[in-house]
Amino acid sequence: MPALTGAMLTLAESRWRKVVRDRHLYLLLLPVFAYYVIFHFVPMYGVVIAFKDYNIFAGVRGSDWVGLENFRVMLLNDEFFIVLRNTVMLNVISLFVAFPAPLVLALLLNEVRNRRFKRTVQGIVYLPHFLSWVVVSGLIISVLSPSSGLVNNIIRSLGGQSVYFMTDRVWWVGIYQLSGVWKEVGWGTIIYLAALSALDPNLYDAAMIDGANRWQRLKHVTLPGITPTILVVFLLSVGNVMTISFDRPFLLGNPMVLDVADVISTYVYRVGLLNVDYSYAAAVGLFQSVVNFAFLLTANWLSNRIKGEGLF
Amino acid sequence: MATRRDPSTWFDAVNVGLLTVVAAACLIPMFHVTALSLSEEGAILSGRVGLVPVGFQLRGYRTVFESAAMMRAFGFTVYLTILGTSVNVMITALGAYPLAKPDLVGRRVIWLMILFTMFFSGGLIPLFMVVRSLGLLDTVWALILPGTIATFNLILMKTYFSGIPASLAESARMDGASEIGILLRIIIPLSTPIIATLTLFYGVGHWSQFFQALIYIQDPDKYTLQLRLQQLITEGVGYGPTVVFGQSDDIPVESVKAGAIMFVTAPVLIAFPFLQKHFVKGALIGSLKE
Repeated sequence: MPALTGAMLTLAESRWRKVVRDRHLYLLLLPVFAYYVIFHFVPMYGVVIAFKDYNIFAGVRGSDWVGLENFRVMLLNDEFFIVLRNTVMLNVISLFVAFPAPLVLALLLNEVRNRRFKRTVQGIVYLPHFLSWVVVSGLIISVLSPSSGLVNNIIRSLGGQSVYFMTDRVWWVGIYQLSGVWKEVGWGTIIYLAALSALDPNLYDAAMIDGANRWQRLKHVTLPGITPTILVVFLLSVGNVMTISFDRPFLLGNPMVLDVADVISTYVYRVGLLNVDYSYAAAVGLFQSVVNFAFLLTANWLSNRIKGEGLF
Repeated sequence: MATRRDPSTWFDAVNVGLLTVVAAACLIPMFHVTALSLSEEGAILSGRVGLVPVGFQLRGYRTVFESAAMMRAFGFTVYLTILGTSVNVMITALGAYPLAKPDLVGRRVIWLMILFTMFFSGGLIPLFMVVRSLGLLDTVWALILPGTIATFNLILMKTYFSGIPASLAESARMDGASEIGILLRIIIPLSTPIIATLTLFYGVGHWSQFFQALIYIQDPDKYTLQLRLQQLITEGVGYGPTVVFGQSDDIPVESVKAGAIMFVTAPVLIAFPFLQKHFVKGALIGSLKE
């Protein structure tokens, strides 16, 4: 088939000509490429130490292979199951608290008619997103302080006793959830407000002509219209069920609540960097990454099956 | 919007009331801590300070400003934020520009590789070992290079660049401009909104750096402000102030802690109103296109 080979040749040739034409663009990409290789793909390779007995003098390559030994130790370790339980527990509660909160706030904001009021509220609720967890934990610890905090001052002036919010395990879990809502609820509304503003106003007009009240319009026009957005946010949360970033549990936590506040990230930091048990900590980290990825793929697959759409 | 034609109902009143409560809840912790920072120690400890200072004093702030450790951390964090944000924005632009070109050979593969890093990572320990083996420990670069590009920000910028008409770059190319010349003289001047947005995102990120400083920095001269604040407020009673101020005997500890929190927060609060319109626009670019 000479014609076909010829066509393929010219195709390859034109591709190559494009590459030559764009050589300066590839040059611009070089530092970007270097960044992703060095700080993302090399660590992905470096995870092989999870299957080795890492020895700092022998290096990654020189250390002895131990197969799944580190994972066996992990699965026999009670402490690992406690941090696993805490990570999943805090995240599952978040799916019921922190996930719906921005949606509800966005729907409420969407019903506001006074534009100035709406914009003012939006500006205020976006602010906490830009504060660091160190600052947020400092604010929360201050406000909830048993001796000098605003909340306990009010409780006492009403005749009650000071509540030790941060050192009581049950209260702590509640405060942990609330702190996340406080910091991110406003920011989380942005994506929903964008989706809401993209809905066709004609649908509302039609619904009103049909006599739909506010609740019916919400149920039959608004929510179906933004379902894809809700789904994306939900899938991303599910895909992170094994992940809690280090700062929040570490900064809000204290020795009194360690058996609910210790999560995978704080555990990896402690055994890996403080106790310098690199191989074991890398194994725990790899477990976390793999489970997250599996959850994301499964949730995405389910979503594609049921709703016909997903992240990819 | 069509709902505007509705007669005013009790729902609107309840809604406005609810939203007012939400907005107040966002601000009250900051008002309370500001009041603490300006109050006399005895009033704080006996639980008499609410939203208004009791026994007004400035010793808390004076202690923070006179502390060599806090000022050193402030200077270093300003340096880190300026240097780091410049590197971030520049390298992100270098990535976004070629990747926004629809017919770049290999674009799809490169893009998929980049997106993959959003969903899978080697974890903390392998990354730490890379940073250590590059000799970056205890340098400002350990706080900058591992986060050179936030992939989400790269998506924002690429999306923005894709919206700039290709004909502009094409005509410059006809006139013999180089790719870097086109990026600097045509694309960048048209992209001030997205550059402002990313400067804010990256800048706030550096200002907030805590964890990376905790794991990569041992040298107290390179402690970030957040790390110093954390030592001050969450280490054991009396111990935190000793670490930061060298002693804790005649220090009004509670107002100093509150003052330090507000001192670290102030730059964000000051910059916030000016940058607000940019970041919302920027975040919208991302969410609409995703």
